[in-house]
Amino acid sequence: MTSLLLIDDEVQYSELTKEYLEMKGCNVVLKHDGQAGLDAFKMNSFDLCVLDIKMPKKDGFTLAEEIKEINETTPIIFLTGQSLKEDKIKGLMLGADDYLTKPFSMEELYLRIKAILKRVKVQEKAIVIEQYQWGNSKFDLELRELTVAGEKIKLTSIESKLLKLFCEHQNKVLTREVAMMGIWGDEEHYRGYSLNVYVSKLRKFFKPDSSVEILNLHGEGYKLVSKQRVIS
Amino acid sequence: MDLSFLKRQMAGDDALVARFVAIFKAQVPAQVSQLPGLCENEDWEELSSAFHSLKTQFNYLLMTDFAEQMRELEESVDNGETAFIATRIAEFTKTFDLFWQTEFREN
Repeated sequence: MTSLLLIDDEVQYSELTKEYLEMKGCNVVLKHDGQAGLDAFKMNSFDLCVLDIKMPKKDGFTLAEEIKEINETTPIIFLTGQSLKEDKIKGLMLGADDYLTKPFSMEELYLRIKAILKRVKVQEKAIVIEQYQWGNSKFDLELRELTVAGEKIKLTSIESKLLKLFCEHQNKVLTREVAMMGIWGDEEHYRGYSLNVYVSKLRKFFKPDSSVEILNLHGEGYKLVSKQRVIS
Repeated sequence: MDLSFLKRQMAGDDALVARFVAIFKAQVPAQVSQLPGLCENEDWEELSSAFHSLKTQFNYLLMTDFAEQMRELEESVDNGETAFIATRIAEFTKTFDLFWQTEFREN
């Protein structure tokens, strides 16, 4: 199911947009100001964000910059009451994937979301990932080697599998179930203890690099958060 | 009230259209009545937001004259041109109240 973050300060009207998108089969989290939207983005995993531009506390442009800092690959559509050319240019320069001027058509919004997600999936398939690189860290999957702040660490098979899963879910939630299935092929209860140990080991490896952090999401799993991401 | 544009924007969904109109009827007069107070308190940010919100709502219902007035007022406030805003708000609210009484007069 497509997971969307919709942020619009029009409290009542945006409920209609949410309901329409939900009727189309999307899962929508709706927030009414930029700060609440950013908090929701940090705590959940979304396929795409729809942002109003003129909002209280934090405008859509600022929010988009902060979202892109957390996950530069998350697609963004801007909604605006203005049709100023400069706004469109600014939005697109910030990495927005599309732009809709209010009053917009619900159907058009849905079709644009679908088109963007289709494009993203094609791009993801075309990328063969063998190395992951962040600020001061690099993970070579083939060599099972993690380099943090210049220091090379040889990973065990399980550490390597777990880190690969984190990389594939970077800035998204990696649930405990997915992690256990990916590493051991089952979700037996006792695996949970081992998983905790391996996550702690990875955290320790990344300690010298402040740009990488593995967050503990209570009751859900973990999230590897990195401010920079380069794939080669 | 011309709902043709709104129907197109709501993908022809009559239930969504009806809910939009209900929100519009409840929200717009309240927002308009707050404009003079916001201006008096020189709460320019809130005032700009109110104009912005009203502009979009009027546009959905093809009330283009009102929408255009809101656009101009929003632009003036955003540009710091607030000298004549109070007068323009007074003129607008007078016209709007007349319109509203005619359009939505209770039987």
